[in-house]
Amino acid sequence: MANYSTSEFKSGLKVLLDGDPCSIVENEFVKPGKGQAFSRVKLKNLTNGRTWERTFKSGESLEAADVMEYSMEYSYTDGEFWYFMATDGTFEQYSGDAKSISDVKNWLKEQVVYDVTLFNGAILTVSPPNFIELVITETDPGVKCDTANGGSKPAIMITGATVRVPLFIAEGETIRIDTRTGEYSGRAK
Amino acid sequence: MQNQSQLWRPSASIENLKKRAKIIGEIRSFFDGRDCFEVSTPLLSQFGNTDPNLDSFIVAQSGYLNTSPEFHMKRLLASGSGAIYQICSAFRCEEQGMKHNSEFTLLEWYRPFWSIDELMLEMIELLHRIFPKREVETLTYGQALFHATGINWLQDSTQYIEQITKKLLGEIPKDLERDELLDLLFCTIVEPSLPADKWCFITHYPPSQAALAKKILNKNGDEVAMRFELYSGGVELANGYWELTDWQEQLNRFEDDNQQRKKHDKAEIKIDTLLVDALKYSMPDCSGVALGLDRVMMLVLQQDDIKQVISFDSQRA
Repeated sequence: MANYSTSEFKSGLKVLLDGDPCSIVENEFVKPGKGQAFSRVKLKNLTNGRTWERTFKSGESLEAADVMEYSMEYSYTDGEFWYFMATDGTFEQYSGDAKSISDVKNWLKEQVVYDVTLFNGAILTVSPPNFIELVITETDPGVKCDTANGGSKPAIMITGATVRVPLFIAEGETIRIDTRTGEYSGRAK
Repeated sequence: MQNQSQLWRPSASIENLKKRAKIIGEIRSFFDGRDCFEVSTPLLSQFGNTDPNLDSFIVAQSGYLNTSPEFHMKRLLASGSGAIYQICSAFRCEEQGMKHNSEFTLLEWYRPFWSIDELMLEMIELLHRIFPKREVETLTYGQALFHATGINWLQDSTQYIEQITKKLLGEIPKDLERDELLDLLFCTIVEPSLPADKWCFITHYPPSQAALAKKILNKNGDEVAMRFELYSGGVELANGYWELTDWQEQLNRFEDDNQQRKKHDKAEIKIDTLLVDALKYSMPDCSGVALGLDRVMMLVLQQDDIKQVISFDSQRA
C-alpha cells in the first residue's frame, strides 16, 4: 500500500495509525519561518470513532489504509456472521462479525441498503439509513392513558431493539424509526 | 471540495488584488526619499540556501529558486550600494497551509550602519503607513517562551523540555532535537499567547537559531543571536538580523548547515561561495529584515487564508 507524506495530508484521507484505519479530519501546517515544520493533525479512528490529535514532523509519512465505502444490501445472518451484498451490480458478498455490525444491529433489515466501510476487504463498520421501518413483535395493548410516561410505552422490534411508541400502536404494526436517535417517528406508510 | 472547473479563476478577489496593488504602491512611496533604492536580483541562482529548515526548489541544470533575495542583496551591499530594498517572490518547497504558500512575496531591505533597533522602528513606521497605529511590545525569546510554557531555554534540559511539550501537546514525534522541540512549542503555544492587538517583537534568539544573525554576549554573559521577529496576533510577519559580516563565520555556518542536512537525510546545498567572496571583500556593518508581504496583506485586508490575497495560489498556479 502507498504512503502519504505530510504534504499530502488532507481531510478525508484514510491512513493507518498504530495499526488502526483512520480518516484525517484536519491538517494544520505550522512552522516558524526559520524553524522546523510540523503538521498538527486531527484524525478519526474508524474502528472506534474516537478523535486523535497527533503532531508529525514535515516529511514524515503514514501508510495509506485500504478503506473503501460501498452501498450494500443486508442479506442474512447465520448467527456468527452478517452477510451483505454489493449493490453496484457485482452482487459481491461480504460478511461482518458481531463487532463490525454492533452499531447497526438494532436496525438490520433484509433488503435494506446500508453504507458499508471495508478495511482490507473486510467489513469495518456499517451505517444504517436515517430512517428504517420495522415490525413490532411485542408491546402491551395500550388501553390505559399513562401520562407519567408521556403517553408512550416500550415496544420490541423484530430486530430486538426496544423503541418507545405512542399508546395507540399495536403489536404487528410497522413503524418508522429515526436511527440517529432511536426514536419512533411515525407509522409506516 | 474544490470544484475542478473553477480552478482557472484567481484565488483572491479582484477587489483584494486592487487593494494589494495600492498597498505595494504605498510601500514604494515610503522608501522614496528615504535614501533606500529598489533593486531586482535573480530569482534563479546557481547557489542555494543551506538552512536545514528551508527546502529549495531545484531547477534542473540551473540551480535553485531563491528562498529569499538575501545573498544577492548582500553582494550589492558589499559592492557599496548603500541602503536597498526589494519586493520579490521567494520559494520554499513543501510549505503550504492557511498562512503558507510555497511561492510568496517578500519585502526585504537592508540599512548599512543601522542597529536592529533603528530598523525595527523604521518597519513600524512603514506598517503605520498602511495599517492603523497601535502599540509595540518587545519581548525576548526567553521571556515569550517562559511566559507561555514555563521553560527556561538557557537552563532547562532537553529531556525536561520534551516532557513539558508532551504535557502541552500530547503525543509528539520521537527523538526531536532541542531546537525542534522549541520550534514546535513556539508555533503552537507561544505564538497564540502573543498580544492580539499590538505589534510584538521577539528578540535575542538562542544562538542555535541565529541563522545569519551576529551572536553576542548579553548582559548576563549568555550568548544570544541578534535576530528579531515581528508578530501580529500570533502571526509571524518578519524576520531580521544584525547581519553576520564575518566571511569565515559565514562559511562555517554554511558548512555546519550542510552537516545538519546530511544528518537529517537532506540533500546538501551548493554553498554560495560568491557571497563568501563578497563578505571577504568588504561587507558594511548593517541590519536587514524580510517582511512577508502576503501576511501583511492578510492583516490589512482582514483575510484568514493566504490564498485570498494571492492572485493564484499554488493549487491554481
